[in-house]
Amino acid sequence: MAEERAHLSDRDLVDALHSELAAGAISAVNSHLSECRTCRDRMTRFQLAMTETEDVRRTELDARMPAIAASRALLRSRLAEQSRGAFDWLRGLRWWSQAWPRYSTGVLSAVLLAIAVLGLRSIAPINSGGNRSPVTVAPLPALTPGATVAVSRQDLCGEDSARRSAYIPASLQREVFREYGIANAPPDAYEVDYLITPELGGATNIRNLWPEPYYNTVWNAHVKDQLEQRLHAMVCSSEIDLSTAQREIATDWVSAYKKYFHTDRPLALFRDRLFGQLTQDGKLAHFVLRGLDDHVDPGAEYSDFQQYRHVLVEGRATPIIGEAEQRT
Amino acid sequence: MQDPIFSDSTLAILGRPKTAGQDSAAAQLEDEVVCLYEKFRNRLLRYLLSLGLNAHDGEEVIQETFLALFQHLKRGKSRENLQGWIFRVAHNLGLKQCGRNLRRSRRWVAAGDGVAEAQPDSSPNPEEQLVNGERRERLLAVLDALSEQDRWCLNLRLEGLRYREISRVLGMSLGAVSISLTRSFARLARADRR
Repeated sequence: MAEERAHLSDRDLVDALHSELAAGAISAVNSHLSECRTCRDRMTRFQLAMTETEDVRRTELDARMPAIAASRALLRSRLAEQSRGAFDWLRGLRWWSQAWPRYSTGVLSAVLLAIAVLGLRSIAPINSGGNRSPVTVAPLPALTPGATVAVSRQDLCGEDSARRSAYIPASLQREVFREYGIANAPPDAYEVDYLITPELGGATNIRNLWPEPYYNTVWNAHVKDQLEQRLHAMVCSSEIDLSTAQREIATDWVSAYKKYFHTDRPLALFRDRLFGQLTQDGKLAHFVLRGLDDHVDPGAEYSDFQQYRHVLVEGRATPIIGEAEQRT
Repeated sequence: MQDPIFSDSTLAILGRPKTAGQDSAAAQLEDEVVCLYEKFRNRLLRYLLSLGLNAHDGEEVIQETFLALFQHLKRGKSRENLQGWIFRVAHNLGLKQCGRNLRRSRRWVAAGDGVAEAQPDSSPNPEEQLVNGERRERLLAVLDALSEQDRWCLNLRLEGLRYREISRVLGMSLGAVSISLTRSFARLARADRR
């Protein structure tokens, strides 16, 4: 028993192995190790366990890691966008600061009037969690510059054009994911989408395809679908010519959306980004505005969302059940 | 005439038109963040995979982490121990994502949908298993059997974090980190000896 107590504890050995011993203990532990073969052997076993665990773990995990190139390019594009976003905000702040003395009365009246007309409740979701800048994921121009087939406006808008095939073979979809370095993409996370939709003459070609996230971004696949429908309608009603529509959607579809919908945010932002959890009896128990970090209390029912008959519950359209006034 | 709300000096800093200097400062910061991304990405992704995330979710968490880092640095906040900061943010975002995946998989199961999405990636191929043999399986079994907190501690340590950094990431005391690692290594050493 006395001999056992004389040995170093496991904790001393593990701390020594990681060079994490308290300053005062280092020399005592080292001196003991130099004299005690048992403790040296124990130390060696710890060392071996660490090396082997590290090795096994790396083998296991590294095999599942995609290449870094595409994710690094994506980060660069997101960073550039954040920089641009900040600048726009600062410019707005400057204008507002200078204009305020002149327009303060008018601005205040307009704001109060807007609040009175719209009602505070209807704008609450817009304000909540709004201090986080939205993230756009754009196709990488080097990989997806856009490609078209030769079609006329009549081809796209005629009666038999009803639905130009938007089918993308699974093998081509896999190629797109591979090109963007996305491995094992969850099926409800991305849509392999046309940059220029077939309804606007887009080609089923890898240069016209990219993995567009449904969620985690404000400007997602659902929002782009709205723009595609809008541009198609505008082309068919001759409000815009086909080449312009193709160019605008391929160059910067987010700007095109803002331009043609006259808005700075997706119209269906909240419907598209509202997630919830179903209880066993099918009620929506927990709302989450994903991406905005705006969690709503589980079990609570919110009248703010009554305007939407359905919400997307992790990607599936789900009716809102049991609507009631919000209780504060 | 009323005074502007923001003083000229504030506007001089915040609101001036973008200059070549600002462009270059922003570009410099972007480059710095991308450099840090290159340095930490593999370690972070390994750690997030070890939390149970799949590679796609892990990548997304890392993107969020570095966008947050960009904002952190842009606001001139502390650069002390960025490694610890990065791991802490990734750990928290990773756990949040794990929770979402768990809720989702529970719902699929409850609905009898049979969709087994968001599971960790597939296990290694048979050849690899043969080569590494029983020892590997034993160690993996021990790792799986560790408590959640012990596993987090161990994985952070194996990604090179110091005790102090681990304690900050996980909100534990230094002593608790030491005890947790000792417990894990004792089990691993025993498994390795069998």
